[in-house]
Amino acid sequence: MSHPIPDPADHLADDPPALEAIGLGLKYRRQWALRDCDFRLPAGRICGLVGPNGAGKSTLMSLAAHLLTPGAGEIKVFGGPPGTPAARRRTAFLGQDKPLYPRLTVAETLRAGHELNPGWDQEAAERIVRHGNLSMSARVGGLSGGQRTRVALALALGKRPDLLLLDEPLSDVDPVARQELTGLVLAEAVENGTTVLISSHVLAELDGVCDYVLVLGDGRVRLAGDVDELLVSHRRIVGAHEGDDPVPELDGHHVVEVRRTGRQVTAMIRPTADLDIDWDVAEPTLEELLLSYLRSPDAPALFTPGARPAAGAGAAR
Amino acid sequence: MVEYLIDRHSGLSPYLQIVEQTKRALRLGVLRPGDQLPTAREVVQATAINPNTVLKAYRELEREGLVDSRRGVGTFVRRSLAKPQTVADSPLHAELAAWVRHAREAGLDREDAAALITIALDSGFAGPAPATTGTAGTASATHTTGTTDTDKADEEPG
Amino acid sequence: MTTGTLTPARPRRVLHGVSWVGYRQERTALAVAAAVLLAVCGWLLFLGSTISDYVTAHHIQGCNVVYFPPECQGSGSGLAEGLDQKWQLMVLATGWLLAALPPALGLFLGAPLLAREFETGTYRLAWTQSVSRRRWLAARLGIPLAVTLVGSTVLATVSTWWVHVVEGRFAVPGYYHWFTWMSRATSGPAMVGFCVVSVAIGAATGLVVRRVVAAMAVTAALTAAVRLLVDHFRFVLLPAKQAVAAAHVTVLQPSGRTPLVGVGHLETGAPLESYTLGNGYLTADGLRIPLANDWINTLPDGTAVCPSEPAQCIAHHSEIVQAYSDYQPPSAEWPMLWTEAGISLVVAAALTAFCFVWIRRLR
Repeated sequence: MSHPIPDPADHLADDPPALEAIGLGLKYRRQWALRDCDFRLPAGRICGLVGPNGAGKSTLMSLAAHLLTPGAGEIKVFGGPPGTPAARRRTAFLGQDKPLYPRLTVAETLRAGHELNPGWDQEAAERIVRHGNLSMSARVGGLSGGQRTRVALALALGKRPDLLLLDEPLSDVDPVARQELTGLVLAEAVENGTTVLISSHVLAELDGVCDYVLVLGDGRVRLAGDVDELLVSHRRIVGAHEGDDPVPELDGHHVVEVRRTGRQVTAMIRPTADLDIDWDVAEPTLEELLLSYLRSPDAPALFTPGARPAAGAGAAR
Repeated sequence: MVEYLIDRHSGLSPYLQIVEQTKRALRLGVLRPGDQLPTAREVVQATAINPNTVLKAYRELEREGLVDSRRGVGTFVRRSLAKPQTVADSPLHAELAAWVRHAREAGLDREDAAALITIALDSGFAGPAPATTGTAGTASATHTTGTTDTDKADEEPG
Repeated sequence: MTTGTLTPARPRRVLHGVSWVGYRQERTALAVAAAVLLAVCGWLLFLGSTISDYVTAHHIQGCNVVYFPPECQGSGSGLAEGLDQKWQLMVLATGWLLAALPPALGLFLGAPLLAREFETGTYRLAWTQSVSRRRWLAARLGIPLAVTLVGSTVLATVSTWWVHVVEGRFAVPGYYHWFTWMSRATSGPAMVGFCVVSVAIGAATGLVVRRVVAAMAVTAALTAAVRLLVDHFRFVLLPAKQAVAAAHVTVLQPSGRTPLVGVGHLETGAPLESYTLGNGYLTADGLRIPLANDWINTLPDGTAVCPSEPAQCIAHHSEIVQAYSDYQPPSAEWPMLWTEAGISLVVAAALTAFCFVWIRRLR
């Protein structure tokens, strides 16, 4: 008997998204850390959260983890507020500084995870720790940054979350362990259908890892949606043009970014019609696409169809 | 069992890399009918690529009728792409090996030989297939895009 | 020995879930506290029984550095004073140690309890597990508070006995009477109350201040303030008693040539070892004229002399018929100790409730 391999897009439309923000905002003192945020992250996706420092990435993560409460709008985890017991059980959070109890041993840290979470998966947690050749009796306070990250990840994944929030998880991990830990996270995710929201400022780190992206800039959503859809709808074009006047080849298309070096013009555009120009046209890589949005704070925000809140709350910008 | 090697800087999407590497393994007889493909978990853990990419690649292979997925058990090879001519001890392979030997004796280096082969491939496969290749129907004719990509992918390692 | 309940080697199955985490985090602190408790109890038992043995051996049970009763005249008096020379320093140091223990608990157990979680960010680890903030807080506060309650009860049992041994026998200011501050702070349920409220003050401060060292400083100040508050209200449940004696009062002539014959206590008939709250005169129609102190000048005929202040005394001197004293008798000691404990525990409960409210609105 043959069964189709599950497709994340198969999720029913009325299935609650893993994460949804409607008009979400938060102010620190007088400064908006996050403002008018509308987006939707369908369940089962691996979503990259991208933006410059201070763009609101950590704030968004903390709101989803119920460490902060919204100052405006609302945020929903699987259709409900983040503070409910069910949401608490279904969400795991790994903060940027990976807080752990320094005086506990690795084994005791995992035991704490076991004691604090009813759905605890000791085997999965131990697997992650052992992959790094960590001694279970080592004190957490004496571990290196990378080892601490591994223990913190074991704690987050041992919880068997449905939504895993990783805030700059691999910033202090060496490249070899980075690949290995990413693999471990994704392996646990695929086995349990976990939705992952992972922030990083190393864009290359997200390429191939994410199938969804959320780009924040200055506290607002700049770009949100399915990676394939976004890549297909954009083109990176390179051509020649004299002078500083507008480039006629770009007319009629949504221009994300134009850069000129002497006579050469490089642009990231979202074509509205067939591109019939003599320029070098290519589908961008994810890194190129993200960079061009990050470099152009004035480009209009873009959402792919599934990336807006369902209730029509997200007004067109 | 196969192991996928994903090159993030190849310009080819990880999805296509998996599809192509599976097909190559099928063509070379590394994978035979009944063999199990690595689980999505195994692929993802080893390569750190998006699980949905792996599933998408497997779905594509399933759509092409090359593999079967059995829920809770795994994904299994249904059909081989191996032709008698492509396995390592085939007469064609022996001829090619002899040619390579000649080329080397004639003072060509690896790149020269590869360039010659590429030229020959380009011209030899440019027109419609000769009627004599009766076994070519193993890959469905509807998936021409897939086969074109195959050729591209095969060129790169040279 | 009952102190066993304080040692960390409790059977593990008793503790599970968030309580285990709470216990594990405070294990070191609780072990240190248990060791201190055992050491202090041992020292109190040693010093107390040494002094007690000396008193019994020399038959000076009734002797007292405050009153010198007649039976202690002669050799007894010397021995009683010898006692003071022998151990005064140790009694003084021990008294201070006992008085310092409750604030120390607040500083070193209470203040870091939650402040360290905030300082190191581990609260974010705890708050993103499956248990609610309130359950987490219940465990984080409950375990140290429960252990403090049990441990300080043990300590208070021993120190109450010790205070009974040394009270009034040494020229140590806090230990003259049952109502002097060291005696009160270090005996009975009051001691338990001070320990518990100190930990609660420390914990609540840590929750608000979120920095360990700052929380310790604020805790020290708040603990002192609460001590003063408790001191102020220690007799809140016990109306003062009043003792009266007949009195005849006059006013010295402005010439001031009349010689003063005697200076002495205002005689009111309050029982020995009473804690005097106030003295004064009463007129026939019930007017109370409080005096600043109970040292009164008397004329040869026994008539008391009005002090120049208050002016009321001079104005009404001919109508004064009685002297009065408001006091708490020695029998008020235990009700007073319970009142102090009660106030402390109410404050501790209020602070704990505050923590639960505060943690909900923390974001």
